[in-house]
Amino acid sequence: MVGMEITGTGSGSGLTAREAGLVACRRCARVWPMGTESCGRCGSPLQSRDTASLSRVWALWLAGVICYIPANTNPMLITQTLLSNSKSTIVGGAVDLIHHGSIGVAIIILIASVLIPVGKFLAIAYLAISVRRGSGISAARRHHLFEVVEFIGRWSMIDVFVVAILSSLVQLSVVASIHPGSAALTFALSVIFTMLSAQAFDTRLFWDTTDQRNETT
Amino acid sequence: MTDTPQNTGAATPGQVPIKSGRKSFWDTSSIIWLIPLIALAVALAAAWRNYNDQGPLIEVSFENAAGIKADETKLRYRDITVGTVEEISFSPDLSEVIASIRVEKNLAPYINDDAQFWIVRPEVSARGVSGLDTVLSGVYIQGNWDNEPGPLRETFEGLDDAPLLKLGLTGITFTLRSQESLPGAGTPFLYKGVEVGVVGDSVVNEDGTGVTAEAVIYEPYTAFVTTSTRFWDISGFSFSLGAAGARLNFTSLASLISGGITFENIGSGGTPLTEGAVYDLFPDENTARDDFLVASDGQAVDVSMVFEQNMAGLGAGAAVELGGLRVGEVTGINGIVDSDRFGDSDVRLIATARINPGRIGLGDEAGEEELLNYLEDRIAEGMRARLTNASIFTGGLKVELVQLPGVAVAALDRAAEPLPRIPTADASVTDVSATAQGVLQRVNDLPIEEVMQSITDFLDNASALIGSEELQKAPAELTGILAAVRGVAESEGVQAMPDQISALLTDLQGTSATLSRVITVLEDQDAAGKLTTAIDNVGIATETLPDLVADIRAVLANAQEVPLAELSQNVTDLLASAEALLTQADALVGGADVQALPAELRGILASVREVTTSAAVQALPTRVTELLAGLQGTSTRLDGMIATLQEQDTVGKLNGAIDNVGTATDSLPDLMTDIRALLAKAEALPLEQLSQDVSDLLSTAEALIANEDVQAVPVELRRILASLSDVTTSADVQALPTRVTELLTGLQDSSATLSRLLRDVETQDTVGKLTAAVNDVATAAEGLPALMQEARGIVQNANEIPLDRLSDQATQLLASANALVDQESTRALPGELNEALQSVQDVLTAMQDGGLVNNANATLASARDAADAIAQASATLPRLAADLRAVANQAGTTLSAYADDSSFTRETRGAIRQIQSAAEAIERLARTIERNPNSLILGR
Repeated sequence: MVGMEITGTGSGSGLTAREAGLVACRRCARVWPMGTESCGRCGSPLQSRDTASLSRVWALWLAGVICYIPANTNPMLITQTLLSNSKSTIVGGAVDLIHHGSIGVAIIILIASVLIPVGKFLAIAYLAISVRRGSGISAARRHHLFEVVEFIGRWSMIDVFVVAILSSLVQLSVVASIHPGSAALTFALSVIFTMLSAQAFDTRLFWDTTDQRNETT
Repeated sequence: MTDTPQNTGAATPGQVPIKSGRKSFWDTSSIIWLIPLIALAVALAAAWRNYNDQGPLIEVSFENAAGIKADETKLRYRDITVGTVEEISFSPDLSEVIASIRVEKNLAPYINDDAQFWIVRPEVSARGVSGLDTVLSGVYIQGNWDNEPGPLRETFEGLDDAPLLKLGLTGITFTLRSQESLPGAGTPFLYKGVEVGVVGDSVVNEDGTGVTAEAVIYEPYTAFVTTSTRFWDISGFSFSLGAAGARLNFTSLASLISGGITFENIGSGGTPLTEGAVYDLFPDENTARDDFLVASDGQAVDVSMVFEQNMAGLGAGAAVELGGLRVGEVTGINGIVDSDRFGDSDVRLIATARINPGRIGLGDEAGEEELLNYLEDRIAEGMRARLTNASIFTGGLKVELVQLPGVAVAALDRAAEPLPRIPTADASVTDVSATAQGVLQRVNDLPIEEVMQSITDFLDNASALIGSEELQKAPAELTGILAAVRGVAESEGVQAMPDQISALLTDLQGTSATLSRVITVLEDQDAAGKLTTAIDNVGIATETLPDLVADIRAVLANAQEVPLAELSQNVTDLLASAEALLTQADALVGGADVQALPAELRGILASVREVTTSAAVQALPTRVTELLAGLQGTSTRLDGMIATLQEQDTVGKLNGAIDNVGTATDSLPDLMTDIRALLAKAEALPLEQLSQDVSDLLSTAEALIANEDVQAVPVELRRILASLSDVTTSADVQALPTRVTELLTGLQDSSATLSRLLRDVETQDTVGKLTAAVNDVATAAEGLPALMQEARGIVQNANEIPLDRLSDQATQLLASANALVDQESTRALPGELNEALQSVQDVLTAMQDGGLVNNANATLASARDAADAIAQASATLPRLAADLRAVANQAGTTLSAYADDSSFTRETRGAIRQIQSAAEAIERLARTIERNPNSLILGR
């Protein structure tokens, strides 16, 4: 009967554990019958779908977006030399680099500091919406997209690292010194929030079809 | 809902029981939403604060904004950055640059109407380098405002240069004015070398007659500037060749290079400097002072004088003097043609002068009217203006108002145009140049060439003379002569001569002194006469010599008659007996007992030494010293007595006595004669027999000594000595020094008594009595010759005594003695002596053995110990009492603590309560553990 059930409800996109009346432990991957409260092996609580997941995702996503605004308006790097004192924002610095001809470096900075974070915001928002509203893209693709987001998210930190290294290396007293601006902190916070947001996502939600979701909700 | 999956799967497949139901937003929302809320709040707060902290934006316009950059150039106040230029733009007509400055919010209220802004740039000038820091940091805008808050103003006109009154300085601004030119901006005012102000940029007057500049004198130096103050330029140096001679003037090297203005209060009084006052700058000190003299006090009056003479040398500024006092100065000279007045059309020169009535002494209030009245009166008396030399050398002229006798009558022309005119007199100018020319002419006329020729000839001749060979040789010869003279003078003979002469003179002096002395002595002593007398006496003496020789011969003859042989035999016998005696004695001495004697003696001496070293003996010297002190006192008394004796001429009396004795001795020769006769009788005595007797006596004595008993004496003696030693070492003897000390104390007392006695003696005029006694003695001595006479009689009687019989009796006595010695009882005497000594020894031994002394000592020691013990015991008694008291006190407090409501009771009650609660707690704990043993591990 179980096999019949599996074939019966698989309908195109395969059978989910939930459909099979099972629930998997997210810590040790042991499968338990639906309704089991906690994993008999590792003791962690079992839940077929994390219903609060989406709200966590949205909350952290919003925090990340809020932090991303001052990260772009405030100066990222404060450069003091004997004669001058300059502050540069992320985009301003990249534009300066382009003016000076270092287009490659400017592109790297723009990708790491602008393209990736913004892309992440958009991707997470899209995935979260797609869980609610459904999507034309298959669940497997969306899951793939999520994995890309999670993998690539950490590279946004490259900007923060550059600032940290520069400000610790270039400390030549009066002659020249580099200090991190307030944007460095907010940018780091923004990246951390987006990574937490991605982690909070319960990816099993992709696989629930819109119909089922409508049924359950 | 809690069915197993199998059951549900079997019964209703596809209908998995899922919790459903639409939940409200608040149910689904979780605490996670706080994170974005906080982030948003922080971001908004930061943005708001950033906006709120932003100060206002002000706009300052500059004509020239070189070096100003947006976002970089700072606004500074007191060298602290208080704002940043945010934007640079142009004014609508493009004539100015407008810098928009974002100033700090807390300073904004102070930036009101009085605020000033200027751009600080590096500046290098003769006065120094300023703004050097801007070379690196770039220019900055300096702001200056006071500490009064007011409504904010947003647009300002920037200054081209830093204001004169710099930041933090207060002072008074005024205007400096000059006809010629003013020193450049920044030139300091130097007052006694201190910079007290500064001059700003010069501006040409609107009418073009001069230049003016703003100037500032800083506080507190403004007090030095009054209306009596004159400023003058000390820039560079000034060289003037004027009426007072040549002057080169510069103040300091700094002012020489960079310039400077100084000032001084030339007069006293005056009102202080006020804001916006106008002062003239004079080119040098003299003009400044002159100006003060002329123009300062009160109103100056202008007058004119027409001179018909050549006025070369008179210029503007020349002095106008009255009686040597400068009362004004010439202000200008002009030509005048006035045929109506002067009767011809010649050009005359009119000098205008300014006269200060105050300087003349007409009073501070005196004005033009008073001065003109005064001048009118004086001119009526004959006063005129005339030109005279100001300086001989420069040819300068001055105007002198002088009283001239016998001049034509004239009057002050008040109505003259343009100024009242003072009549003039002929100039009293000394033409120095003409005089000097005359002098030079006379010098020129001097026959200098001829004089020079004569001098040249003279010098030629002198040269020839000096150059001649003879003259050349002269110095060498002179040198030779001098050397020879020096050789003679330095020879040894000449050197030694003074010494020899000196010695010779000394000898001569000594000789003459001796001669003188000898002659004096000879004269004094009449030596010649005495010599004659002496020779006469010698002659008389020699006459008695033969008698003396005869007497001597008689004596010798008597001596020859003495039976020497017999006498010598007797002596020999005597000697033999003595020798035998000595042998016996030797044997006795050689006996062991006698040998042991020294050892005993040594023991005694040791004991004695112990005694001597004992403390009491040590104390003896002190006693002795005291005794001696007493004795000394006594001797002092005696001295006093003797002195008294001396005073009373005792010596004189004694002398008298001695004189008497001398008289008595005069009769001695007679006595001697008698004695000699006596001796002659003695000579006749039977000495032989006597010596024989003596010899017998000695033999008997020898036998006695040889006796055994006598031999035993040393042994006894030794024993006695041993006993004595014991006795000496005994405690009693040890105590002897103490006794001796006591004795000495007694002696001391005695001496004190003696001293007292002597004092008594002194007081009782004993000396006087003694003197009387001496007097008696003297009287007695006077009777001595008589006494001697009697003695002589006695001797004569003695001479008559039958000495023979006496000697016989003596011989018999000796014989008896011999018999006595020879008898038995005498021989037994030593034995008895021995026994007696033995008894003494026994007594001593008994004393020693009986331990009497020891016992006494021991008894005394015990007694002392007992006494010490009692003393100690008594010493501890007070402490014991104190302890007892302390114990009693403690007992008292302890007992009182037990009273009700006392702290002790309370504490005890509290302690008991605590113990009770502790016991309950333990009980509880025990019960808990009993019920729940694992709580020990879990800690609950």
